[in-house]
Amino acid sequence: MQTNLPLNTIAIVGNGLHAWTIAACLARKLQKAPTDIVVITDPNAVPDSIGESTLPAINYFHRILGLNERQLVAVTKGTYKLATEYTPIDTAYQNDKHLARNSFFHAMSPYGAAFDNIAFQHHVTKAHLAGVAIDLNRFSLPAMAAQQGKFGIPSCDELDVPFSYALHVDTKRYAAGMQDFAYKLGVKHVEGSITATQLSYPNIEEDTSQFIQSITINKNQTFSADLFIDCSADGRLIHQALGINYQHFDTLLPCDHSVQFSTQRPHDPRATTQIKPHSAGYWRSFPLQDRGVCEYHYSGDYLTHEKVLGILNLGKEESKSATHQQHKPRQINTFWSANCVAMGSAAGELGRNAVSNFHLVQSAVLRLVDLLPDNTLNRNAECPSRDEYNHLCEEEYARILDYHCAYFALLAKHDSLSNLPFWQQQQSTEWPDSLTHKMTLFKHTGRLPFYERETFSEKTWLSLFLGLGLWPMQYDRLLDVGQRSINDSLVACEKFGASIQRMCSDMPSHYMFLQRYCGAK
Amino acid sequence: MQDNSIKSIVIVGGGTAGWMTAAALANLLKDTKITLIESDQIGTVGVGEATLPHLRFFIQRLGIDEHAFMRATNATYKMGIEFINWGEIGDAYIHPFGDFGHPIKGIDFHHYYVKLHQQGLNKPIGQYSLPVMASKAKKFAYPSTDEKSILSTYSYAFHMDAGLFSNFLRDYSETRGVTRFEGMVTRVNQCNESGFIKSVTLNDETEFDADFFIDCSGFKGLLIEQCLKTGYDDWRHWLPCDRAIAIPTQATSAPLPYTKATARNAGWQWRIPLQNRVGNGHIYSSPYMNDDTALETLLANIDGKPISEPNFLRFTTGKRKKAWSKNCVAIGLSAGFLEPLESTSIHLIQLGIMKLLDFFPDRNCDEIRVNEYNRMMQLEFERLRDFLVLHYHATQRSDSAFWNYVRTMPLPAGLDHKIKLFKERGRVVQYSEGLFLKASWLAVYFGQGIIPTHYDWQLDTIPTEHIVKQLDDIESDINSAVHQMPSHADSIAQHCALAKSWRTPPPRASFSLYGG
Ligand SMILES: Cc1cc2nc3c(=O)[nH]c(=O)nc-3n(C[C@H](O)[C@H](O)[C@H](O)COP(=O)(O)OP(=O)(O)OC[C@H]3O[C@@H](n4cnc5c(N)ncnc54)[C@H](O)[C@@H]3O)c2cc1C
Repeated sequence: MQTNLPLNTIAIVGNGLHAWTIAACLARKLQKAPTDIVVITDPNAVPDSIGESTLPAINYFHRILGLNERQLVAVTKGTYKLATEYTPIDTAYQNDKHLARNSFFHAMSPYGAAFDNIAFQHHVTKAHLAGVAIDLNRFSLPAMAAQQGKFGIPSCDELDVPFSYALHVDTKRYAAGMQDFAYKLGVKHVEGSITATQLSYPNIEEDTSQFIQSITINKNQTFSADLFIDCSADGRLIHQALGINYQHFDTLLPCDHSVQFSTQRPHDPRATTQIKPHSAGYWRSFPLQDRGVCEYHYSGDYLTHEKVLGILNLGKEESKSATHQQHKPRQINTFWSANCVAMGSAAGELGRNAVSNFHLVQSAVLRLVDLLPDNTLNRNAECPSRDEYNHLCEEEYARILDYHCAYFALLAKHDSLSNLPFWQQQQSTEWPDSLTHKMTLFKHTGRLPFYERETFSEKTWLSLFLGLGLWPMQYDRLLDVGQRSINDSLVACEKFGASIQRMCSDMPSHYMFLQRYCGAK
Repeated sequence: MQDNSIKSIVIVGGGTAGWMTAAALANLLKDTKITLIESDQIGTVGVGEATLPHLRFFIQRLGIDEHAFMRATNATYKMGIEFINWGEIGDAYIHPFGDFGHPIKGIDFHHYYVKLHQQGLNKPIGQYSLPVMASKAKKFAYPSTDEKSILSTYSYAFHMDAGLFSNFLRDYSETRGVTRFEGMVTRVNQCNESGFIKSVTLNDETEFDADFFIDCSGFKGLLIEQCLKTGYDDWRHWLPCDRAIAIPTQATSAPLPYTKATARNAGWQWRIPLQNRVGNGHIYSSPYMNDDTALETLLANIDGKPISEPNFLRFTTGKRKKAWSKNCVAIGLSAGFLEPLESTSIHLIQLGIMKLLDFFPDRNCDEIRVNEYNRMMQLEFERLRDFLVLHYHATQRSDSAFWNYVRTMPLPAGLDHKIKLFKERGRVVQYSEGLFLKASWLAVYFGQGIIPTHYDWQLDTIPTEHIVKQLDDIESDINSAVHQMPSHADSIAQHCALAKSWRTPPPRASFSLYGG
């Protein structure tokens, strides 16, 4: 029998949004444990993003922290996100109403329902193959609401169709809120640049990996901790001190530069994050209450910074807010090594077209809490919790990598892009086997293979494929049994679409909702 | 467009696998010609008598009345399996179809249990499981549909006469258009170019051709192996039992609502109660025990009078390398056989059928579809295998060469990590797909003496008195619920009564081991 030895100190090395989100969550979960949490921030760090577009998992995260969502949206001048709006056109990036007609609104919950025990996609595929045009947006409540500029949270008992939503938040305000929250929970804060790290071998017998004994800040202050969380931009501890390397995804994730800037306050913002391809990458934009956030992601091989500035042609205010960043699409080889866990940028970068590091940080910190060892185990060379943590992260990253690649893989097939050199390049990319298997199986059977640890459910993958134009060549054979006709399928779909339309008509506009409940003026 | 759809299917084999497949296909593929060929000379294995809750889902999907099924197969209820002498001689625990306790403050119940255990609590974790306590009290009632009730925390399956089940499904299938032929398949004819199966020929030279073939011919895999030569992964180094003797006996007491699996010197013995008799069998490993000793052991440990001669069986634990090859899917023993220890075979038949329907092909049987089917079945077999291996490996027994071997054998990759992770801090490796989930792993770990060194340290902030009270409350809730349940025998009598007005309809089935 052994009693638990709690960790005495956890040090978080990093800045802004990620560091304070991690700190707040740990502090909340370890509220009653005798563990000190210290955040060490670097005054010279690169600034945060302007805004973040999140996934529905953030609602769970907030529940765990005990935060009131509407208040949080008000304080962070946030807005809601019902769907990702995939727009096929290259030109404008403002929330332009008439562009929406061609958009696919990708909600994060299933489309349609099983009719006659046969999954939705087979019914629409059957119709599609017969030449019937299918507007997917009509078969998802959040997608349709998003398209119509609406937002509401249906109460559970009136809701018999899938519904989910996420948030757009102002990074600075959100980080400040988390910092505040963390302070209240007793988190300590130290400012200073790390100038040295001291390593040691905790177990002399074996050839164990090195542990971080302590770190030196500003050349004179030394901090030791039982566990270090590295969420610095450059992997200050995990990579630079412990020497863990990254694997690179340059060929899979082609956008290695981005410009983020804020735009004018949208008048009647849709509850969506917009994604739009351009000649050498993609636009991503979403609304906050007091401004819009716009990101221009591109490949440095195809565009120079000057050229991009020319394309963007930013106004004075926009220029002031603009930040230019270089990205290294990559992933750390060991997420948790010895007594150091890498999160956020230190763990890697997989781009931002669907999942940002902000989501990965939330997911990582919850996983860490779940697997947090006690202090004796933490010092052991062999630590099954650590192995498990690493294994889970690897699977999670692999599935997200697939998802991000899918965007490029599918768009490269569109006629309107296929003659652009950047997109041509994507056509010849060798995608991960798991993604190829997914796309091929779907194309041939209308089904998705099963993989563990998906961030996006099978149904979300499925609607992404359909929405971006990957249609199966075959539908479920059982759909043809017993003289079922296309018309049967269409009638069932129609009925479902009509009920969605009814629910939608009761919803207020997104802006009205924000005004009423979330402090928008 | 060319019509490539499958118009005809031949199923070779009329055991549990053959008839379950025929029934499911007949129910869904209304315009496909389905033929089943079986040979009276060869007969069936048919010892599959203990099932899992998923079978209810199968029965309900076929629109079969559960009570009619029970009457037809002499079925009794099953809420779990009691494992005797596994961790150590003298040990016993039940692996139930349900959870232990419930999470408190977001932390899994077993951490609380471990904490009190460390402080001297010496109750088995089964005290906190309704199906375990109900099993011990020989009681049974349908799970409640009220999620808040403790009576909703379990699920149930059946013990049944597999031969009668096949007959029952034969009736069902024949009413729905399946044609049955009696005869021995002596030749399997392939298409020269593609290697696809064209037809099978019987000993009287009748030839049956079809677009698609399902091999339910048992261990030998007449189509999938003898013709298509897909190969077999032999797993005897992990699951060394390879022989069985089965013998039914007269019932001497009211049926128990659970299966018994009693470990012996070189294997284990099953006891499966039906309404009218008891199924018994001894599974053993031939390098460690000969047939005579095995039979002696079995006969010395049965409680009623045998009602037939002992039936000797041989098998190789493992799995067919590809369950689906070209235009032929193997379902049942032809696809592989693990070990009847957790009654998984019929479940694997069901899963094979479901996945086949899910990936139902056209005549081309495109490879991508076939590969995914095989990948899924492989994953399922491997996860089941690991769970079964755990039963053998997690032991302190050192009383025979057999137990010394399994206790010290090298484990399949991944299982070692699973055990270590649990020992370290009570963490069970989670999957979203798979048959045996957390509750089952917990049952075996705790039941066979693998107790975590550490519980979740978040508990240290909760006063011990609170934890004691919580556990006491759960225990007394369970006890009073069990007290009110009718006996197993009474429930069977009521549900199998002919008059419909007497019967309560069974709850909706779900595709899960634990209900809810
Ligand atoms: C010892 C033991 C205990 C078991 N216990 C359980 C349990 O508790 N629970 C559980 O779920 N499962 C259990 N099983 C597994 C279960 O018995 C089988 O999964 C089930 O019987 C299915 O068998 P099958 O239909 O695949 O093959 P079989 O029963 O072997 O049927 C084969 C069929 O193929 C036909 N056939 C073969 N060759 C030819 C030919 N040349 N021409 C024509 N027809 C042919 C035969 O006539 C027969 O109809 C157990 C198995 C064993 C060995």
